[in-house]
Amino acid sequence: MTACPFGTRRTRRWIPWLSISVPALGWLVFVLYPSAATVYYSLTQYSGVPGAPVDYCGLCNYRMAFTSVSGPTWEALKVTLVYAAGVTVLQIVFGLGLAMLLNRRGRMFSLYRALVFMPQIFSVTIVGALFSLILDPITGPAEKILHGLFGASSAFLGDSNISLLLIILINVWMFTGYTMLIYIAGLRRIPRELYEAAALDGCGWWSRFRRITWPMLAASTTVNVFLTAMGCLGEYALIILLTDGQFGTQTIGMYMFQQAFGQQSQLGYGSMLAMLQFAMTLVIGGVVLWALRRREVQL
Amino acid sequence: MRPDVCRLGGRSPRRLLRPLAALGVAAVTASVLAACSSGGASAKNTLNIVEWTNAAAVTYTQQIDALFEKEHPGVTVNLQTAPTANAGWPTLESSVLASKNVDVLAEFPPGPAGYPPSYTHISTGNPAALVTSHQLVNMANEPFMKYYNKTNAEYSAGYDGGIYGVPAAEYVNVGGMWYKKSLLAKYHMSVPTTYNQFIADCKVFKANGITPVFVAGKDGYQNILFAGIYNQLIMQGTPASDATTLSLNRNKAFWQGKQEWTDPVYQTTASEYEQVMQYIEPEAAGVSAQTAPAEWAVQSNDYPFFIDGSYDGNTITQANPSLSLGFFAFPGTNNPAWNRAPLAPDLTWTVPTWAKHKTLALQWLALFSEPSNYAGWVKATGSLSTETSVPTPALKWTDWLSAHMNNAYDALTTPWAPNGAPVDATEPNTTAMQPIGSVPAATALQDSTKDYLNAVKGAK
Amino acid sequence: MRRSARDRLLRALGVHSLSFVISAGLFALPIVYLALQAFKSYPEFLQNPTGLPSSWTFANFTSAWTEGDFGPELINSLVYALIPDVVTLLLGVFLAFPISRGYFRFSNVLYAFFVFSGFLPAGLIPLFVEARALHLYNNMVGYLVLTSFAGAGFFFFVGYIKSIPREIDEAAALEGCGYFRFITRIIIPQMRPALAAFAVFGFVASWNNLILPLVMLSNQSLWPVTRGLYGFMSQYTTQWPLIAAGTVIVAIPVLILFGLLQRHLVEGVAGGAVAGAQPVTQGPPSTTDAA
Repeated sequence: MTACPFGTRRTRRWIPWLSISVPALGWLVFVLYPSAATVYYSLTQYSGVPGAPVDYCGLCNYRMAFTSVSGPTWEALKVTLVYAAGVTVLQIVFGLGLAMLLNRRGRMFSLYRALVFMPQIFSVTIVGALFSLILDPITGPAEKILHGLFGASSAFLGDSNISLLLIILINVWMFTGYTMLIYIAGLRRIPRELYEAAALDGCGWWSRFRRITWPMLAASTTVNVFLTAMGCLGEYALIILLTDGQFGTQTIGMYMFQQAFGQQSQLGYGSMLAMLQFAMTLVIGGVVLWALRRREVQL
Repeated sequence: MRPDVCRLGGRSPRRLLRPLAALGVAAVTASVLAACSSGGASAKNTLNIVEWTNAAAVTYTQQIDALFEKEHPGVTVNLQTAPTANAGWPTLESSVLASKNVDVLAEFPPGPAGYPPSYTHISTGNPAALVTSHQLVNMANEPFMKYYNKTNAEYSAGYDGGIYGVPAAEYVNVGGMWYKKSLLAKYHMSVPTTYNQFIADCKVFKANGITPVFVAGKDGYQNILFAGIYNQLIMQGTPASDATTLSLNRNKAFWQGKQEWTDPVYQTTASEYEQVMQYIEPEAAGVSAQTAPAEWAVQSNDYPFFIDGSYDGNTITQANPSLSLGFFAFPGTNNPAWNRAPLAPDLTWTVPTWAKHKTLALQWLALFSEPSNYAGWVKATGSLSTETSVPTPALKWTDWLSAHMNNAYDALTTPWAPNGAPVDATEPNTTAMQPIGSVPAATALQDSTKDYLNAVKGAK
Repeated sequence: MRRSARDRLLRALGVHSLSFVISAGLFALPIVYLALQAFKSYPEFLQNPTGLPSSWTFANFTSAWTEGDFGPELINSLVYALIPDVVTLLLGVFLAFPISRGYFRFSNVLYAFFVFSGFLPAGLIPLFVEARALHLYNNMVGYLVLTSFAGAGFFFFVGYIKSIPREIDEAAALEGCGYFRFITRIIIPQMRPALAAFAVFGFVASWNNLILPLVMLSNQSLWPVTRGLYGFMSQYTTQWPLIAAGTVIVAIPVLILFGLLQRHLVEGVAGGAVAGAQPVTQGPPSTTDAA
């Protein structure tokens, strides 16, 4: 603990508290309270309809999730993991590749970077509508191309084999720009001398990448992996718009949303799923952060 | 205060402050502008109406709103809508209920089977939960209720002697099928009256290179076919007035384990369903319900049949006004007398007891219910009329329906399932079933049975 | 290894082509496709969904503009994205600084607490019951308060602040600089890359938010474009040309804004190179760091 050097002898003790007072208060009211309420509701069979009985029942929802109706819950957890892993890996690969390709001077490259970043500024609504249109198996251009080039046809989002993959790709399409920017920031921090020394030593392109670029980008990778993975674990808006969680795309976030807001809303059960999601996020987030930081330190 | 002190090595903070200040001014101006323009809308007399999206229904509602505003100067009507697909409607409904910010709320009526008996310990969703917790206004004694068919109103929105909603619309949902008159005429076919005849027709079409059936597999509309078949197989010749009792007995039998999804009637349903599904368009699993009607309408030389409810009438005619089309109930049995139209009460206007503008809401409903206005509603939406003095208008596709209203009945409801039960407990999952999914129908039936039994056991 | 001028030119051309194909072809083409549909009439779209418009019509744009009310909605979106972004940013710095410097006895614990609170299950229903009770429901100020105080800026800043040398604090304090002045005039300008990264991330996230406005803002006049476009799309479900026109109308000002600012965005996020500062995130402050 350090002492705050600011203020007079009288005010010194209070400055840190004052500093965090407003944000901490906001946190208490808008983050802690709803979460506490969710924990409480997860122990009930409350339907969510105002005026309906709250029906406290202890761990009944948790028991149901892991025993009699376990199918959808485990399936959702599995899908979520695949989804998060898929998006993270692909976004890192593409983000890094694009960063290395487009990290050059010039107005044209500035334009290219802008184009890559552009999909993010279109909201989920637009992206969902756009890809629904493109992937329509009767009238969409994707069908035309598939049929024209390969003579094949596909239900695209309606095909359980590729539906999740398509959603992963759409998600990557939307957010690679941000990953790319963070990597560009990281690339620009790598001292030129390292590359010059490597060139003198006669190192090839791949060698330079493996020995200099990738390790030096460890911190950027940490940020990207963490943000992307955390974002995916809670994602459901895009999935709702594209497949409504069907055809093998129901993540735990979607399942929770459907239980909380679905036609037969069961807020108690949905809150329990939210707790599950949180537990999963905590575990994965913790593991990822620990592993990556350890790697950072080692490098 | 000494400004020089708080600078790092003489660098002026103005470089950062200027763009920040500019942004700040822009943001404040924008928010003031926005607040000024929105100031009027949060006026004291805003009637909040919430309904789901059905293009024709929404457009007509807006017309009624305009009429209402003219008759009640100083009142603004705020209409909010969201599509039923992709979780839009449930989210909107939940939020306006939780915030108690709605005066007239459209609901899918619970019907008598919407109130599971207390021994099931099932806490119902909306709107049954609203009714039982006394949060909806009882309209049985409102003057405008006299316009409506009483039996119908009691069926869809009745509970404990009261009527908790205005039954505005009724359609054929399960069992619904559209057809293209010209295509059927081209091959000298009339509307099939038995199941075998339907399959025979499909074979002829297939032999001529035409895909017989179109369906929006992405949003599960093939379920309309499945449920339509077992409805007819179970109802058979039972009088329409006994439909409710039949439905309730069926639900009870399921709960007590006396009926299961693997029973012979459902096996028959499944095999008939599978056979029809051999004739659907390839890649149907990717076709969404929002684009399907227009896509079907535009292809005048293909897809003679379309699995969809009668609520999409106007969407279809709008996409292709020159299409001569018709609507009928899919024949699930080989006895023409049993192939009846299952009816589904649809949009029901309700008023919450805590609504801020209850009087205005009831006045709005009174305006809506006036026969002249209601007639416009049924014409616009293609709904069957629920008012005794307003006949169902003869639209170009309603010929079969008008001829078969005498033995139409209220469709069977799905069995009661405990909270948190998987979706296929209440009905076999046609999205998982072949050909949309990958599970054979017989297996899907077994899965449903298992899931239902487990759910009920877990709840007891 | 000598490379002729021609080889260099070919290489540059290759890089440009690849970059162009990827950025324009992969990222921009889908949007261009959607925009093209806006120029077709509805029957034409039904007949020819994937080809170029044969008769370029502007009717959809005028219809979309009058039916969609996008002008005010764009302003709303801007307000809902900008103000909470700035507020969360400021509050985030004031929260992060004392924890980063270790002014509290249990700074580690506090750090972990706040970081993971960002991932707590955010019960939407309890949130509106609360919002309603606090009169935050269905008004602009309420929505801004709600989104400004639930932000997650904290995570970005703590590590970055650690890279700013402590000597600056002490030097400033010795010269009599007050705490709040110190933060606003010295620390914040030093944190430009982290702030830029957060500002972009926060802005995009707020701009994109659909669920919260759907649920919290009932009056149409308060809607941001995400909600407005969603309502528009649901009302004109299959009329893609009309929807496409609405989308273009919404997208154009955003694109213009983005075009003007993107250089600053990229430079802002990447700008850390100039100051030679440490990466954006590091672990929690260790107790051994204490002076």
